[in-house]
Amino acid sequence: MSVADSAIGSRSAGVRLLRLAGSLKFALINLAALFVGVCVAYLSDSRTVWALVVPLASSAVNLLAAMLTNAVFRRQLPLLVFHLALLAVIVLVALGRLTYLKGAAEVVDGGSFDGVLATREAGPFHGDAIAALSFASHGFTIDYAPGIRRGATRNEVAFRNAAGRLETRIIGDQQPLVLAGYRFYTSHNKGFAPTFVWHPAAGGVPQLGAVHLPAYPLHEYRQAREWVIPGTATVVWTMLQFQEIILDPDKADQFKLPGEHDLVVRIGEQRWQLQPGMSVSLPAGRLEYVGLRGWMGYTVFYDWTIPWLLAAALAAAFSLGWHYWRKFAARPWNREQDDGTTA
Amino acid sequence: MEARLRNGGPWFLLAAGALGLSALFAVALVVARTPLFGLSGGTFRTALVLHVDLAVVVWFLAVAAGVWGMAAGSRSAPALRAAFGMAAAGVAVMLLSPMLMSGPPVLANYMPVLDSAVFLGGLALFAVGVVLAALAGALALPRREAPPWQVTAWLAALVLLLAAGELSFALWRAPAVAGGVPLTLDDRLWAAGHTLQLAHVLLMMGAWTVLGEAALAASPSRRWLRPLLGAAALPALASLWLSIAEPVGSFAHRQGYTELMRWGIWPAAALLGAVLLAGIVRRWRAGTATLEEAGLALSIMLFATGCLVGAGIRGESTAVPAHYHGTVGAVTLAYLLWGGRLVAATALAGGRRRLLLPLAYGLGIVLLVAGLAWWGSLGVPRKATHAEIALGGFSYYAAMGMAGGGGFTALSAVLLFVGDLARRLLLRPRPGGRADVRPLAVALTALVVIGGGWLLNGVDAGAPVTGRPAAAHVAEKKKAEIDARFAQGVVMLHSRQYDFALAAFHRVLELAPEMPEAHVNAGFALLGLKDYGAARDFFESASELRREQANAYYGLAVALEGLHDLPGALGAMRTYLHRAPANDPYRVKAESALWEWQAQLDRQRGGTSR
Amino acid sequence: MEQLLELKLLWAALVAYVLCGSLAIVGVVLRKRPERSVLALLLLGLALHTASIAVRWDRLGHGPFITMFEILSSNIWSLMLAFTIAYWRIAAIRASAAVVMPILFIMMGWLMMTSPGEGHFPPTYHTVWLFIHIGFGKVFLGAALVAVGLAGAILLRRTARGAAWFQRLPADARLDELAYRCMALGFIFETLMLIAGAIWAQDAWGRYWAWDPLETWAFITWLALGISLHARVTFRLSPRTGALMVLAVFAVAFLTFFGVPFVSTSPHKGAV
Repeated sequence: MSVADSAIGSRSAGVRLLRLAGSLKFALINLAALFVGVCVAYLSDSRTVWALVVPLASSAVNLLAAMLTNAVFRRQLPLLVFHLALLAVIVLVALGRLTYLKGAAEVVDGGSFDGVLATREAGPFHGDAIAALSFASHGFTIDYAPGIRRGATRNEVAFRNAAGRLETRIIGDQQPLVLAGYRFYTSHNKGFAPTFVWHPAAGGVPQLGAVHLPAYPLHEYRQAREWVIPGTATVVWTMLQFQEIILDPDKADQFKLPGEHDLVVRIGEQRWQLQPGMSVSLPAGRLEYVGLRGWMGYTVFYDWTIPWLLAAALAAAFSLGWHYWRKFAARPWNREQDDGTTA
Repeated sequence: MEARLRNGGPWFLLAAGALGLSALFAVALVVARTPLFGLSGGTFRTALVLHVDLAVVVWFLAVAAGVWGMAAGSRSAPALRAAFGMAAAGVAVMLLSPMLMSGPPVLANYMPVLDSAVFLGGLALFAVGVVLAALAGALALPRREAPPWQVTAWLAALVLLLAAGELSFALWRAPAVAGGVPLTLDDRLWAAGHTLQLAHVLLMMGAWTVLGEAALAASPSRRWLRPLLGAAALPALASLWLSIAEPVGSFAHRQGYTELMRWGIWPAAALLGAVLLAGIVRRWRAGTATLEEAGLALSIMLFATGCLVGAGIRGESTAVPAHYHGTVGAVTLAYLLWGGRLVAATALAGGRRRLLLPLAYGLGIVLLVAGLAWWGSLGVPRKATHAEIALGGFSYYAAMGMAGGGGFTALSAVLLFVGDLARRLLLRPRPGGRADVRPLAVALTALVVIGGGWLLNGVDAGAPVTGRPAAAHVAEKKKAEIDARFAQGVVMLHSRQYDFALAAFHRVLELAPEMPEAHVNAGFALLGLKDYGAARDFFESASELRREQANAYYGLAVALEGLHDLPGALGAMRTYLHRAPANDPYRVKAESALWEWQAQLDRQRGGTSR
Repeated sequence: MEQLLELKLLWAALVAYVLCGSLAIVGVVLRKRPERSVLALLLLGLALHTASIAVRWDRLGHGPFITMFEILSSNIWSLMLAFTIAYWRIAAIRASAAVVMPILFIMMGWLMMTSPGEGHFPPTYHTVWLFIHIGFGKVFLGAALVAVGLAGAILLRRTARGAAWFQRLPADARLDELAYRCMALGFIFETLMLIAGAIWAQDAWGRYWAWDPLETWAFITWLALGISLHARVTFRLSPRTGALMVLAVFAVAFLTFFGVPFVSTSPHKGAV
């Protein structure tokens, strides 16, 4: 075989491979593999699973190859737009998985979020823009229907908007706070936060801090936490005791802080029962119990691809509708046809 | 003809694309004003900037460059190609810039911009391409028997070069401050922006002569035409003189160009328009008038309406957008009709659509202008949202309907025109069969996904709500809230979150304006923010509300020190020490501050101590 | 008591539906054409059913979206509505009511066994996306139901008796084509339903997709439908194969909408 012949031979082999990659049968195989992949993803723990990634990538290859070789795509505009939009969806989902962030943070009433997340799960290419963000919580109310069924949450927050001005807003449930693309949602995690001021004996600046007790009413009977006084090695165990019924199952109620309460503080062998204003004197300094506040847990979500994903998905739906409209309007379903093909 | 089109063709396609995109941004603007899809202010203003720039900068100047290309000889072809490449690249960069680098929109008159290096770079690139094309056009001196459009093209090229010169001077050579006030972008663009309008009017007149050939032929003599066209360009001399004689940004400079606009730009066009209208009417009576001439008549009347509305502008009412949409619409309509004629000579011919769609556009603009002008006569202000306008009644809504309906018609006509052109271009039948839809499909999908995603990205999550939840109206809840907020403010003060603390204390003061402690803490928050003047006010209010509020004097002393009022600070600190309890932890600090300030004061007074 | 009125109206509606369905089946078996009466009974049933849902909505302050009773009732309503529209507009396929109505009988029987008690309306349901998402889903299911009627007729015709019953219907190839079109329509609306669901989920639960049971099953349904549509254009399928695919997809969809929400305990049911 001459060089030219072998060149032609290899080129036509390439073309054949491309046609195969773009074939309808391969598309069906990919769809079936995706079906299996979805079941695997559903049953497994991790979200991004090879069983999903492989069929999606293979589908993307199939779409590209089809676009290059399939004669139908050369003629039918809306059908091609639909498949291109699907390809865009796959690409955007991939980009989103590389750069997303999910996390959680807790903020006490009157305190602020300062860029540090309590839990964090992110894609490999997610930056750390969140470290520069901050907002303050001004307290929240949560309505409860009879039977302790949670209703609307309203949380007033303050932040600097894009123009640099201080703005306050009420967020809750479906209304997140959106800062630089990061979405902060109030969650059902919320609870009580006894607040202390630590006066170091060495005469440093008094520090104010809040201890977030386990979520209420989820951990109604475990309102205790062990924590360490900052700057020392002193371990403190704190428990909140109160008689008041915060959420009455017999009527519509609201989440509120207990009025009369006891704060049990245990350090080593010693035990105190504190009221607001009382202090505990330690060798390292004085721990003053200031009072009880609430804390709110937020879930954080970041994915910049969402608007484009929505645009692509809508483009897919509408272009498919357009395609079917044209196709079905051209021939009535009840008329005899000669060849029976339905491409 | 073919050769001319080859030079100008790419520019016309660029122009058409810009016009279509500008229409899409206009749709985005309208959608943004509906309550359901409110766009954030930043996205809205970005869409506004792109709409305006794509229309009056890219669309107008790209058509101009195309006309210069047609007038220029084949020797300019390589230069024109290079110029086109730069211009097209510039437009692409401008379009992508909001996604590459965010830039705050600057809504200067005549040429709003996004203040980002990427956008401005793209704009500059486009401008360089256009200036090169203008050079080619200026070098193509019209011969004696050249058609009138070539005369206007040549004159317009000169005017554009003048504008380019004025712009360069204003941007790089004009002093930064005029009369004690720093120059704004608006000041710098003032001269060139006005001069450019003259170029557009000249080219429009050229388009009119092409479309009105038959109408002109019916007029008794045509020796007045060339002198008229020359006279139309005379205001350029006035512009040149103004830019030399008066400093940029001065009152005389601004006023001079405003007067130039008011008196200089329109007379020649009005005269030409009148003659053409007379000719068209004559032809109409004779039964030989064409649809195209109806379009020409519409363009002339739009121009006249725009100018008349402009004469009636009093203040910043909607008469202003009525004015410029009228004149812009006149030029666009003339270009669309002329373009339709040129396209008819090529394989992209579109049948009656090339006439009907521009006519629909023209009628839509007429309605839009009428509606906006009507609003203007009612006194409706510019750039206000629906909710802010307190008017109602039949006239208001009728005018709104008119403007809305007109705008919708005009936008639809433009989008159909450009869409049809795009379809014909991208679906040209390949040799051996039918058209290949793939390029069009890719372009369409990209447009929808990227453009749609950008718009959705700009949708605002929710309106800011200030104030308490609706449930809390009972007095005891108010007290609970005051306590809670005060406590939160204290927490924030401790953690040095001064602006959040200030917000909290502001809220407390809204609820309890007579609480001295809240005044004092607000003052401390302001001290943290280094706003000594405001802090002083709060401390003074606190001490007035309660004379024994010791820490108010402490804070006042610190504030006064910040304002460099040492004697005052000393006085306040002494008062604090007088009133504060003996075991107050801040006494020590107060006494040392007193000692330090006294020493400073003595030094200032030249060392004489008591 | 208001609940009594609502239940009475529902009973009346179900009686109308059962009469209607029985009439349709009898008509097919005895080769009569009681089409006017069937349509009249359908409309009567729908009117009564609408009234029942409206009364309950007014009483509870929220729509039929929470309990099994409410979901079954509202789906029977929307499926009946979809089929009524098809019955009215496409006269040629009216005989397929004999296939469709028994399916609805099963759902009605199930409805009668569930408790009509009240459920808690979660805060995440206070949004317009609830209506948009569910609306799209209802159109999808309705289109699928019409297709199932046609598919059933195609399959029943394989028997001699079935062929006799459905001789008035157009040829298999025509029915298959119409079923294909219904499924195509359903596919578009299911796509829109998934999109609306993701939009709702983003702000309701802080993420637009998390493979929770209902989301996963809905996507599986979408894939099944996509596979069936793709198979039709890849191979030349006989009407019988097409009909089997339609039934398979409907079965998956049915499982998704009526099985999963009440088997799983995840937040998709309505969070606490």
